[in-house]
Formats: sequence, structure tokens, C-alpha cells
Amino acid sequence: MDERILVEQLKKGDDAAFKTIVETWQNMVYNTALGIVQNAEDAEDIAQEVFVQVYQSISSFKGESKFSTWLYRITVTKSLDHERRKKRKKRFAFVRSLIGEQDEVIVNPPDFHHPGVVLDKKEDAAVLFKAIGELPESQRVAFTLNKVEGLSYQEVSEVMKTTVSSVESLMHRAKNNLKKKLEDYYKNKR
Amino acid sequence: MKKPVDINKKVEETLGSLDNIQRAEPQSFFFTRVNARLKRDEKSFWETTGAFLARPAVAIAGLFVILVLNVFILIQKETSTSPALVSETYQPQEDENIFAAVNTYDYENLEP
Repeated sequence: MDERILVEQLKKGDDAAFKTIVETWQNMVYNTALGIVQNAEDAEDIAQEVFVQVYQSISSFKGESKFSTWLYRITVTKSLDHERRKKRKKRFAFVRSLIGEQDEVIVNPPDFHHPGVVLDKKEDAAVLFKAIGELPESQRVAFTLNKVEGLSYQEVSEVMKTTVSSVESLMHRAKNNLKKKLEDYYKNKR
Repeated sequence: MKKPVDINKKVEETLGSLDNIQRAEPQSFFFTRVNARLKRDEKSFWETTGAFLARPAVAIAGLFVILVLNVFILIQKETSTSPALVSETYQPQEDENIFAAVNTYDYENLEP
């Protein structure tokens, strides 16, 4: 069904239209969130939040961009918010452990294995995802949307509300940073 | 893994490891879970109103309005009960004492 009709129906409170929207875009939203937060449970939680927000604030969607672009924006914003919260918690836990208020040991998360990567590339992809997780936010978002979601630079620029040349620049810097990180990783690997 | 050529090759391989990646999918019955969450997140009228009033900006603005109203009422009261003003503005009217001077009892007792 045409996305404009679905959106109009959802604006009128049609639950069947909402179901169709969720089922049509759930993989896109989940995969994007998973690429950014690199944790299946968190990605599921974020994907649910995204669709709850879609249902509650569909009236604010004016149709100036594509519906999928709007969905990508909500997903990216929520994923980055989640990452910031997680970092804040980690920092707070670290400070508390320094002053002896917390006995919990801060454990680094295990390597992330994306289920969509072919088997013989799993190890390399895990190393790459770890390096992606250390990139600055905008570079990480551009790289994830392009490489994990397969969006073109034009589409990435629409999601990030920027120009194509800015996306090109972000991707160039992201690749250079990743190369450096990977070189260091393999140099120090026994 | 110490030769630069090997490292460069490995880096390139790693960078290309996401080529042809397939989309990950959430677990089955995703819509059911979204629906359940939506129902859980739905708030009643009083919850929504309470949440709105509890917003710092709204709460501070409300407090400010109440304070201004209080000051305004206090000033109004002060000016209306000021003794100087009362004496200046108060003018006894002639018919105010009519009832006190003549009442039904007096009419009934006109004759001795």
C-alpha cells in the first residue's frame, strides 16, 4: 500500500494501518538501531520505542520528507540518546567505584556479532564493529547508514539533514579513522 | 601479523567485511510487543495533566502567577482599608438614619 495512504489512515487512528507500518518497517528500524547500539536487546527496545513514538506523534509528520527518512531520523536519535545514557551510567559507575561506593566490577561488553554477516567474515566484522563504536557520533551514523543499512550518500544526507558533500567528508574521515584503529589493533595483536 | 603488507591486507579485508551484509530482523511477534508497550504507555487524563503541571517551566510559571496574584490582592486590600482614605471618602447620607428614627413601632404608638 502507498505510504501516504498508510500515514493518513494512521492519523485517523486506524490500528490496521499501524500494524502494516510496523510490519513493513520493523526490520529497517531494528537493523539501524542494532548497527548503532550493537546489542540485540537494546536494539529491540529502541525499535519498540520508535514505533510507539510514531503512533503518538504521527500528526507531526507533515510529509515533507519520505516516511522512511522520518523513521530513520527517529531511530538514529533514539539510538544515540541510548548510547549517551549508557556512557553516562558507565562514567558514574566508574566514579562511584573510585570513591568506594560501588563494589560492582565494570565489565566491557563482549564482541558484537551482527546476525547478517556471512559466517567467514564474522570475526573481521566483530573487530570492525568495535572500531565503529569508537568513532565520533556523526561519522558512526553516516558509516552505519551507508554500510549496514546500504543507504546511498544522498539518502544518508537526507536522514542527517546535511549535504551530500558533508556525508562524503564524514565517510572519508570515518574510513581513515577506522584504518588507523584497525592498524593499531592488528599491530598489537599477537 | 607484523609485516606492514599483511597488516594492510588484513585492514582492507576487515573494512570489507560488511559488504553484502543482510538486514537483521527482530524476534517474532514484534508487533504484539509494540502493541503491549503502547497500551502500557497510554496515560490517563490525570496522569497527563499531572505530568504537564510537574514540568519545571510550568510549575515555576504557575508559582509566579500565584505570587503575583497574592501581591496584587494584598495591595488592593491595603488601599481599600486605609483609614485616611476612609475618612476622606466617607460621607454619611441623610436617609441612612431614617430607619433608625422612624419604624413601625413608632407608628403603632403614636397615640398615648
